[in-house]
Amino acid sequence: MFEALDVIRAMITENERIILEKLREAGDKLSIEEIQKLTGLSQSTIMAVIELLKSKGAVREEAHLLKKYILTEIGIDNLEKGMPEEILLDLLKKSGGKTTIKSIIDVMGPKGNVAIGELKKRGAIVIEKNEVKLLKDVSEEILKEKEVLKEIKEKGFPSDTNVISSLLKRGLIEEKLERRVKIAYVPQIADKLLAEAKTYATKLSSDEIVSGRWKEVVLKEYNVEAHPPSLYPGLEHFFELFLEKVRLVLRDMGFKEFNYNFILQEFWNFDILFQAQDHPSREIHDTFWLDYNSDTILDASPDLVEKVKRIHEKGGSRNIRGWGGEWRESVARRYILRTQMTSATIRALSTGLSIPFRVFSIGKVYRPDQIDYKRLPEFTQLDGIISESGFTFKDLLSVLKDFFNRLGFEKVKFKPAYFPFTEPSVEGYVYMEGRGWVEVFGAGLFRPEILEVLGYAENVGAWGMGLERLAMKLIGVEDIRLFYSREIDVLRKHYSKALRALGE
Amino acid sequence: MPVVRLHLDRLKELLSGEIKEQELEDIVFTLKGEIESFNKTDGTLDIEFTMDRPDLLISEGVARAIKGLKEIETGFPKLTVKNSDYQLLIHDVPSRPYLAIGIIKNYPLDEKTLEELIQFQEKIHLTVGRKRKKVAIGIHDLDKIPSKKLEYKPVHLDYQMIPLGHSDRWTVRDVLKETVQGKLYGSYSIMNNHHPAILSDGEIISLPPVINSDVTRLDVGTKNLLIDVTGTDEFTVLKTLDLITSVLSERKNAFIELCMIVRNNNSFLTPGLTPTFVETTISDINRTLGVELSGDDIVRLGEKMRWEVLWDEDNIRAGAPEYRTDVLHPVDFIEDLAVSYGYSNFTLEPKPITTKPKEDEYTVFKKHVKRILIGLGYTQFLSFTMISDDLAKIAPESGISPIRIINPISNEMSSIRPSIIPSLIQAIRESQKSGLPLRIFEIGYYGYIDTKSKGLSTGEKLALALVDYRVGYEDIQSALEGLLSILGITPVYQRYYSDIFIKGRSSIVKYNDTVIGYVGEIYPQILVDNQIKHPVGVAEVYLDILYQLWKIH
Repeated sequence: MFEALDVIRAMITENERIILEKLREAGDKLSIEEIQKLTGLSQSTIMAVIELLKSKGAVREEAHLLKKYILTEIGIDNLEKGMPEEILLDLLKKSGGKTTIKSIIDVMGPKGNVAIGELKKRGAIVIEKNEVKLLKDVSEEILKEKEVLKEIKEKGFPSDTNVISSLLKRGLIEEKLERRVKIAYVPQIADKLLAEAKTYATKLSSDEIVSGRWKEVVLKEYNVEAHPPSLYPGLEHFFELFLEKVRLVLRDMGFKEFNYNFILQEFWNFDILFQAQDHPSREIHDTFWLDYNSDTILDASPDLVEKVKRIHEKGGSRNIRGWGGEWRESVARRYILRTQMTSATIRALSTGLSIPFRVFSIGKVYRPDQIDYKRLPEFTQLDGIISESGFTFKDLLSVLKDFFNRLGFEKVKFKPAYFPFTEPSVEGYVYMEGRGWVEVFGAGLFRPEILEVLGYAENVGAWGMGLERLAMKLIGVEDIRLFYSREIDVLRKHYSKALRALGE
Repeated sequence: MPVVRLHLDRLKELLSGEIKEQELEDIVFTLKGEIESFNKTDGTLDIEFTMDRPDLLISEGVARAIKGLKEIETGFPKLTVKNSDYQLLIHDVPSRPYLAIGIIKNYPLDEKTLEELIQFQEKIHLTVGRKRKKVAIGIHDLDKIPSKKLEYKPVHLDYQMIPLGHSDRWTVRDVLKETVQGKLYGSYSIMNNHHPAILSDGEIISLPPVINSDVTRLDVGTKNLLIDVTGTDEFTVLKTLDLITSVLSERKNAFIELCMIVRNNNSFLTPGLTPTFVETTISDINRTLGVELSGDDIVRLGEKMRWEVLWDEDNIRAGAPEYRTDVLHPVDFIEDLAVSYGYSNFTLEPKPITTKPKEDEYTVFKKHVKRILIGLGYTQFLSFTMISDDLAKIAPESGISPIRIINPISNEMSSIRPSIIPSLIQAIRESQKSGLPLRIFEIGYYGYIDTKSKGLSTGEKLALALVDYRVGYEDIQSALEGLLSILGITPVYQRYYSDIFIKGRSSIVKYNDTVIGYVGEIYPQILVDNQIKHPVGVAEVYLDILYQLWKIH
């Protein structure tokens, strides 16, 4: 209980004021439902406010037990299917006012006995020998009783309390005690509160502003030093931040994007690139084969297929030899998941590009590989091709150096390498603070056999790189699996990291 | 890429002197290789080399290359070649027609040499030999071969031999069935109850590509070798013999002896030790590399890589030594010139950009879509295209079958996802603990087969998911509509039933009769199966279709 001094200094909320005022108006105790009807507040709000008011001593909760009645199963049955005495009465009327006990039982079963008993009580029938004779039509009485049952079903209480004992006796209804709570107004405290306490709000509302009541409302002081509940914005994937940066550099260098299928036939992933059909990388350990067939090679004219066959077997016009053996179309027709993005750039090349051109493609490639902190069977690669009049190997190195400089790497190192479809080939390293030289890309001039099939006179440079690996080094991600994390916390954390690492 | 373990002692002996670690590292770098480790305890190095240089898979080959780059010895290696009186009669062996043999004399085997020799053979099998299918090598102690007249022919499976590592006689049949090598390679050349064999005086000395006989086994103390190479491709068989005999003869005092092959009344000597000649021009070389080399420069650079080069005016004729298996075209010479020149010696200048920068429209469109969804509070996920067979059943379309992977790495990745929805389900499972509501989306590849037409459908889809304590159809529908309205597309929703959605709570989304996608509340059993505790609403659209519709506007 608050002391007088405390009451003056006490504050109440808007809802407390509303409920107290309604209680005072009513002049009597009110139930929660009644308060709800009067205030329009939700039950849970009302109950919370009542607790507050109780703690201040402004209201008192009074519980009393209310006696109610409910229908028993028999009662419900009677109401729905008809009372036994009703049914018997009906039966009697239909059989000319009399019938045998036996017939009654036949039709009604054990209920027949109940019916006989009831009608006898009411003096409606007389039993002679095994016959039952109708004396009085008590339908109206019975109907009245049904009404009472209905009433009890709906309201829990009949208007005519006299019938209660007989209905109880007959097992048609039963007693139920319900705890009813009523809230009582405690004038000594409540009056003072209403008169003197200031109303405060936790949040300003539109109502208060518009009505001008904001002048009277006191806003509860917030603990502004505390941290708020978490609110997370929608975010782009952190890897895409990196990919955007790469695309931007490529755009500035005059590159155009091209896309092609990730599900292809070996023709477009290997054969068009002059990779021998018995090359180890085309085996079950290095390429994913798909359970799908076709009789033709998609996007390849018979002419092109013929050219590729010839070049594989015999080599091009300036070859000493080709791969020998027999080039089989059945092998080239096999469906796989692409293993390299050169499959897309070579497709672009096959559409007939006019020099000068700079084309790139970014997409997923697939290789059967263990999953560990630096390897995935499915990862993202960038492949680019470039050509112009008089394009040289030196030009390719220059473009590569330029690309990596723009990505933020000052020092680039080139190393002789081997790729089946480029010659000369080169592997590239960039220098990263704290990590030293890191291998990031492979490149080279397309082998002449490839250019001969596709009809290119100028040299075409090509280069490819795994993007997750580069992003890992740039952003500081230790495990490649994190790029495909299923945990949103991980994505949020790395997004923040990437924002810093990727700079402008 | 093959990795070999070489003995530093052998290398030093072959080089007749010391070589510093750093210098070795730099040379290996130039030879496209990478030293993986220096093993101080046993004086070995683990080096990874590339597939085009099988000659480097033994110390002799590496030493030869080093001598060239350091200009100690340049041009073709000087081989000592003599005739032997060994003869091989080749009969018809349809399953493995080609065989060539050669002899190396004065090649004493100590432990380290034997180790490297076996490794050399094994690595060539893996690379050039395509795991013994294309080419297989047998190395024998020459002095243990019963007779100088050898035969190559198919023998019946009941024929007997003493397989390597055993002292008793087995039938060929048992050798194929019971030995490790028999189980691995026995199926390659068997034909009509016969298997190819090399015999000497009726004794099987080799059963290619499976196993050698114990009769001619190599031991510490062996001094002279007979090399046999069998295979299905004549050129590769002859080239492989050239490779092995040439490289091994790099050893001091070792020399090659030729053998006579008789086949179909033709006779010829092996190894042929033939260089590969290419013709090009100085202009071509300079035009390809972007340098200005003179004829003399080209000769010097080529010789460092052990080529022999002649020039006259603009013409260049270059020969690759017999042990080079990778020369198909003049460009293979040009690369060696670049390597010899030194990749770091190219003076690089930034190239003027003569192509117009242009962003890809579809990529830009995707950027807009992402931006709008982020604005609706959705976070982007990226996941795998490959999923389990079970999850591949979750898709809103009807009449489709998943594309299965024949050789998956695991059951978790054995099919291609037909929809992004199962991927989002996986993400929700792990992310639901981080707080609700959870709003996520993904743009990614999908693929499926139309069950009736058997046609393949692939492309990109966008899927979004909303997870909360309570989620209703319109909650997710309003997100999709939010996106579509900004894109200027007013869709039509039609009642649609799919067993992945709650009945009566899903629709197919269309625009002018084109199907854009689907929206619905996920059927709870799917949630339960995936340990998801909260209701989920998803929407999925075909991004390519959306893009086309957006362009039309």
